[in-house]
Amino acid sequence: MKIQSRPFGEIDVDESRIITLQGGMFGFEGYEKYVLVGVQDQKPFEWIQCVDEPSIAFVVLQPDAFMSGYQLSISEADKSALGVTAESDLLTYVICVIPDDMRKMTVNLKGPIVIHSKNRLGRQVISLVEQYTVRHPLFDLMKDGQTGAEPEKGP
Amino acid sequence: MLVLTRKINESIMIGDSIEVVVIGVHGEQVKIGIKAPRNVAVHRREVYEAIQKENIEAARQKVPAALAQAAQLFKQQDPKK
Repeated sequence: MKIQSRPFGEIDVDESRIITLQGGMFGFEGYEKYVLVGVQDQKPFEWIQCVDEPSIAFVVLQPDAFMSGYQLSISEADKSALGVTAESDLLTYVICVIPDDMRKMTVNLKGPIVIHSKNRLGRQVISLVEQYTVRHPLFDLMKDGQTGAEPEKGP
Repeated sequence: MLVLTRKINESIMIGDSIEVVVIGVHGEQVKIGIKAPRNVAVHRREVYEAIQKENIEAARQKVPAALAQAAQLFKQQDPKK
């Protein structure tokens, strides 16, 4: 099927590649159908493009591309909504904000998008790792290698 | 909104499985304990708002042309290469 995308104009996507983000993204509730699109010269960056609204698209990265030891640590509610028991069944993407000075680009480690690769169900979730914020400078994380974050202790 | 007055160690039940307990009050800070089933997500409201704000900013940015440039910069910074 043909859809309008923000980065690439009209693109052709196979319907089997459409991802359902349950409840939509925070701030964009109601739009649930997305597709991942990427091109070689933008790697490792990719786009999560809304199928029904061309203007809604996010630049994303998989944490493995820039840090080792990213910990997802999401609630049981999120896991059961997606039909997974182990977080390792989920693909994780973090959203990038790229200002004019690209060296200051940031990634949102607190609110990743997770996708169950088997049923293509996903959602934007909140990581329970206390140290993660919505705005980590990407190139600082790459310098440090990892954040050394530990999951939040239970009550 | 339902407004209830509670003392320390008193609690409120929401449905039959969620309990909110007032653990302590120190000046302007109230310490609250929440007992909820594992399938109920509990987060601070600010976290939702921060993610919402960040999403809106991410969707508004005008990067399509510059992303290949960002990818170049990324590769220069990548210690694995």
